Amino acid sequence: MESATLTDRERTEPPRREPAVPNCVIGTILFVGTEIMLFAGLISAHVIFMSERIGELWPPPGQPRLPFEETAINTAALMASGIVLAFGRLAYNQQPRRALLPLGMALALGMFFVGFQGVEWVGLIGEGLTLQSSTYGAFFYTIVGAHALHAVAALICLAWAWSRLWRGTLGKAHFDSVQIFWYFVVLVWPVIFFQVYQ
Amino acid sequence: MADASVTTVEGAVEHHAHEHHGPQGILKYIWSTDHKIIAMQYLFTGLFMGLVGGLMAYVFRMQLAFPGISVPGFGVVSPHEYNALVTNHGSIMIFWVAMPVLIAAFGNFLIPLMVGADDMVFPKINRLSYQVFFVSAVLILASLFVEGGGFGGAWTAYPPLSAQGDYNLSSLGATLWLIAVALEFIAFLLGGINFITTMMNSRAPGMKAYDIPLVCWMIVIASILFMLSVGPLIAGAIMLLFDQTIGTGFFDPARGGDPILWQHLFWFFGHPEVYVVLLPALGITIDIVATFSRKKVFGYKIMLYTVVATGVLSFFVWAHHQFIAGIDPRMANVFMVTTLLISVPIAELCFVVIATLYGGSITLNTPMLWALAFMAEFLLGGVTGIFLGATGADIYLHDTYFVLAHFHYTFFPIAIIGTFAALTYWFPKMFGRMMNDTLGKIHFWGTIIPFNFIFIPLFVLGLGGQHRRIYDFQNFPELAAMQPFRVFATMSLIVMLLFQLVFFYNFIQSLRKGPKAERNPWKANTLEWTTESPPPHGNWPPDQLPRVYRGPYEYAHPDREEDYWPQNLPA
Amino acid sequence: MRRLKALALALAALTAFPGFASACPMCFDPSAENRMAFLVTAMVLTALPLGMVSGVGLWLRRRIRKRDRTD
Ligand code: HEM
Ligand SMILES: [Cu+2]
Repeated sequence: MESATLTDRERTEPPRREPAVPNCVIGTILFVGTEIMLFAGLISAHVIFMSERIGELWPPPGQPRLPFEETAINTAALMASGIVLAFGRLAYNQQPRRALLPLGMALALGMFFVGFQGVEWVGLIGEGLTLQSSTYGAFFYTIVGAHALHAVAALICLAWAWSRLWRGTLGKAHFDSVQIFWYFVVLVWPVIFFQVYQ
Repeated sequence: MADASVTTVEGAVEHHAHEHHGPQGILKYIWSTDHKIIAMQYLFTGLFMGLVGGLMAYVFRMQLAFPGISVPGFGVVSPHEYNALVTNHGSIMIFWVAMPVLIAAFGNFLIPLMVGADDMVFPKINRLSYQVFFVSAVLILASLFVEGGGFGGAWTAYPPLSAQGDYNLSSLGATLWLIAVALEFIAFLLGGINFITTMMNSRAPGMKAYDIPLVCWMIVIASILFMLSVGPLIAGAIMLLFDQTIGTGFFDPARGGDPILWQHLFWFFGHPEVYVVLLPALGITIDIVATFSRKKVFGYKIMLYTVVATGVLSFFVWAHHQFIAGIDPRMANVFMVTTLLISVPIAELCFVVIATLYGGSITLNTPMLWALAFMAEFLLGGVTGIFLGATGADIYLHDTYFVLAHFHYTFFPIAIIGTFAALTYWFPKMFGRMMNDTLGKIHFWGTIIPFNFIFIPLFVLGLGGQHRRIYDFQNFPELAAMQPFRVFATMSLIVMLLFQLVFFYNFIQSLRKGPKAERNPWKANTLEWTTESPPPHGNWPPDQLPRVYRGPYEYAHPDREEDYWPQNLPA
Repeated sequence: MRRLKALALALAALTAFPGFASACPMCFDPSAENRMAFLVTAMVLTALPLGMVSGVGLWLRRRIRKRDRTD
């Protein structure tokens, strides 16, 4: 990413101090902060929307109920993925290659989550819930879709980290960045789940 | 990556240990990752958009002063064109002029130079930021020429008008407008990540937090404010985009949506946004004032903490834009109190500037005039904001020309006066030549006086009950009687626009023929003045990056013969 | 003086019982739940960024302190 300037910087004198927090970790934190606000906006919109539906038939007539129970299982898978990744980090601290298995497991669980979600969507579309069918559907697909996009992006990062780890070139800072990104995806999900699927 | 000779006018320097294997020729300018070149790209795009926005104002002000005439250079303005021009004037001036010039151009140029770094920490992300911004600028301009015309639903894009092509009759224009705004936000997120990380991690050895020039702090705090407030609006923009394109009903009451929800999401961003643009301009002002009154900034830490307090408070005031939108009146009361409270830190900032001036040996050259004018004019904007912040007064004043004059008295000092202050002050460093001071002063007075003559009549019109966003006031007998005010404002605008020619002449002439600038023409302390003008690629020779020994404002120190004490001089 | 203070307080207390002012016919008469939802989301949206900034700020300070000790 910054190879050209790094070589420049290596030549600079006097030598600069090691930053307290590496560049890419700060960058990721800032990015994730913005994304948290994005989801805060989406969820606030949903809260306000639901407050206007009090006393109405719910879900709207002709629209399917959201599969709360199945998704609860899926939620558990995503949480498990986050926990496994935390263990992966501990293993990495001892010896980097030991993180290969937990990181791979976190990746697999994450892929399971996204796949499960996709199957669920196909079912819901079959039952007549689409973006256009009602504002209920529109909110569902917008919020859950936004989360799914982030999940896919974070999975790509996890896969990239895994391949770097395999080749033995994954630095601590990059591990941290990917970890922060994945935790964000894992931790906003329960909020979405309890607000949207309720 | 750009080569050393790119950044210098007429090969002032020929050195550099770096090897360069980047694009050559013209590509050096458009595919560079050098922060100074990206700053120039932002600067020139911003200035160009400013020209476009100014000419739009000319067209719709002509329509207001002389309803129905064929405006020279444009033709007869139809009601829809009027709305599209007003909407895009506002959007362009805020998102494509104030932000790119003040934050992106000066942030990119100044932050690495002022903290003693050779470039941003993520140069490629920086380049991507400009490219996204460029696409957004093309889109907003293109949106004016598509079928149905440009979007005409005001820069705030309130639904239901903005939610459906059937309502605003410019479905393509509205969608392009929205996409352009969203892309612009993404560009600034990428830029903000760079500014914050660079200032944190790439400072010169010895530079502690309180040795950073205030303008860098201000740009960084503004970036943080921006990044934290923009999320909900992006969420809203996605929802509005779905409303427009695939027919969902998030905001359209006819389809079960809630238009107030958009206002909620928009103003959550909207008010912090005004501080996002204010802070860089304020930082520029304070740096210039310190340099040209040869005095230490009065209360560096006070200033910094005050700005942090303003940033915190700015998250608590946004509902003052919705006082009469049907929000809970108790909530309105809370927001009234916070709105009045936020003028306290703002007033404090004014006093810091005044106290810095007090007893200094003041040089009244062009940059200093602009900086002082910024404080004077912004003061009027802030004071009128207090009227609007009182819920009782706002019931009457909301959406009148009083509001319009209020925010022009804030935005014009920020976007225009702040830009000219920065441009005239850092011109020698950016382009290696001095600007003509006499022409600069002519341009200054030719801008400031007409500016006041444009907007003071608008305060009067607003108090007289004239509402905003009306195409032709002749149908309202009481308002039609105030026509002379409108004509006067329009005439002043034309005078002001004509005086900008002086600036462009001065700019181009100084670029070509101005006297060569030395490293430190203003005898200022901050690090950017310790390198050549303009700085080479990498900013300093690789083995001579600066080391910092003191704060940025050590002017007229009693123990020194020279009245300035550069940050990099060993004690 | 004390009377004046009491009067000022009484006037301030009046602001707890304000009346509605609506400019737009569509946004009239929101339900109590709706008003509450706006209030709550407003508070969450405001508290969240401030909380995040202070959290990250404190964490950064700790990291910087730690580095400075080890240097
Ligand atoms: C930082 C500089 C400021 C800028 C750039 C700014 C900008 C704006 C803008 C753009 C609007 C109009 C929005 C619209 O309706 O389209 C506005 C309205 C308002 N401003 Fe400011 N403002 C600034 C400072 C202040 C201050 C210091 C206060 C109060 C102490 C204030 C109070 C208000 C109020 C209450 C309104 C709403 C008026 C209404 O819509 O009825 N502003 N401002
Ligand atoms: Cu505001």
